[in-house]
Amino acid sequence: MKSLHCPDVESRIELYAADECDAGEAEAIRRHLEHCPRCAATCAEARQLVGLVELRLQEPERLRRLEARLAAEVTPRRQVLRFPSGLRRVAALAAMLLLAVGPVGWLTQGLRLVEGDGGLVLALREAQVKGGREAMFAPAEFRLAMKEGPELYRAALADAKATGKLPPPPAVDLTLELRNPTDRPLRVWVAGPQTELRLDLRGPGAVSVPAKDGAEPEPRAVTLPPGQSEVIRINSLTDGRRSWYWTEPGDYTVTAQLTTLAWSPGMSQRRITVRSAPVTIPVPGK
Amino acid sequence: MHGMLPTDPDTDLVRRCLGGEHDAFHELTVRYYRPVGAFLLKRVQRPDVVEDLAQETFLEAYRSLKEGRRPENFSSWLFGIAVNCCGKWLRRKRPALFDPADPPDLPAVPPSTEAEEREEQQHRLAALENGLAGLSPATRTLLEMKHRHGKTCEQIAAELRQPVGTVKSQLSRAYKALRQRLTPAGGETP
Repeated sequence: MKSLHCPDVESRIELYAADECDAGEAEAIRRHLEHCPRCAATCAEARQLVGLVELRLQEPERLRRLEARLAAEVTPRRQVLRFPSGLRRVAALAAMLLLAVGPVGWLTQGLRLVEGDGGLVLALREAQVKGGREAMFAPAEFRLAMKEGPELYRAALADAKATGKLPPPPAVDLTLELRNPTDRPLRVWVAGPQTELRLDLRGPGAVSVPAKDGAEPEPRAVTLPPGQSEVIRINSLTDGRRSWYWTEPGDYTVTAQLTTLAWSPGMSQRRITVRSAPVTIPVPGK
Repeated sequence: MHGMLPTDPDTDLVRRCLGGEHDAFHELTVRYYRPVGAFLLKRVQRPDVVEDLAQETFLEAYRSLKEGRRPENFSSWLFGIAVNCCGKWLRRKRPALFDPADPPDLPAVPPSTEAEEREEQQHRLAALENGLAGLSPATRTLLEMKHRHGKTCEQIAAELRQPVGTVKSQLSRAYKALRQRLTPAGGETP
């Protein structure tokens, strides 16, 4: 796309801030913003607006999720405080192991596929690169594949208030495919402190609770030749920071977002954020 | 004499919270979620992390109250916790491997006082509320589909059986109308 002038950028700036420009247009705007402080300031305003609209319109769901976290907070802390200090670490470790092995055991029982065939691919939609100067590379892509059982978690989470033991998050087979669509090699961190993977579940009974801190995975960067992919597997509905549950039957959507550092030979590292489109998961009742 | 002073709603809610009433804290979250979220957004400039930071803020406040902390002024205390959460996030997430020759990111903390930031965002929230109320139901539906349900313009267009360009144009007009209200020229911010 040819270079843009200020009026062109201004006319598109809100859609750009809302990640609704196509890749070529977004790249042209990003280039303009690098050299135009006035439009960069307008873009910052537009981002604030989009953020405020999101905050306002998502408030009911966000309050509900906060309330669920507060509810999950109540009893476990009381119980931990009953342990003598020496036993506290042991109790925390036991809880962590329970979460770590739970989903694996659940997976081995065999899950019913609720959507998808063979390769379990539910959806492959566009990816979006967020941020102005962050969009150094053409968008990477996520491919989401998931299988899901009919378990509902409402009772288990209610029990957790009394016992302090959270149920393992739903077992899934989530495949995140990070593809390099550019014509040059791309080096990207896929694990470690430079990466932040986030899952988000929305639906009629979506609940998230803080996940127990697990071991930080070893930092790992891979080189992706042009057109090649790196696959990251996730087998339970947690991103390490939060665990997600469905507590009602209905249609849920899950999205994944990865923030990481990437670079090409001879260029400095840049932060990129790639986000998958929502994937619908029907959760049947018993 | 002390008992004759009128108590503000926050003080009463905090007192009830300290007495073990969980519902009282829920009321505090409802009162403060939006202002705290807007404040966090202004500080970190990242809409995608605001929910996490807001949760951290309220959880921290909840834990402190449960441990018997009695804040003199709940509002200031809560925003103080929000500031600390922002600080932690900025320290934790600041990438260390960027080329030093790179231009810096946009300043995450604008050069104004915390009180000014809070007041400015309060005005913006009020202006946004007025702006949303002035939108047509159809436009409001578009914004809900986009920002509440996380749908893309392509998905919205497919669902509404409209061309994508039409959806984008409508959204763009709505954003511009809202932004007009939020900027000083719109007359709703000080």
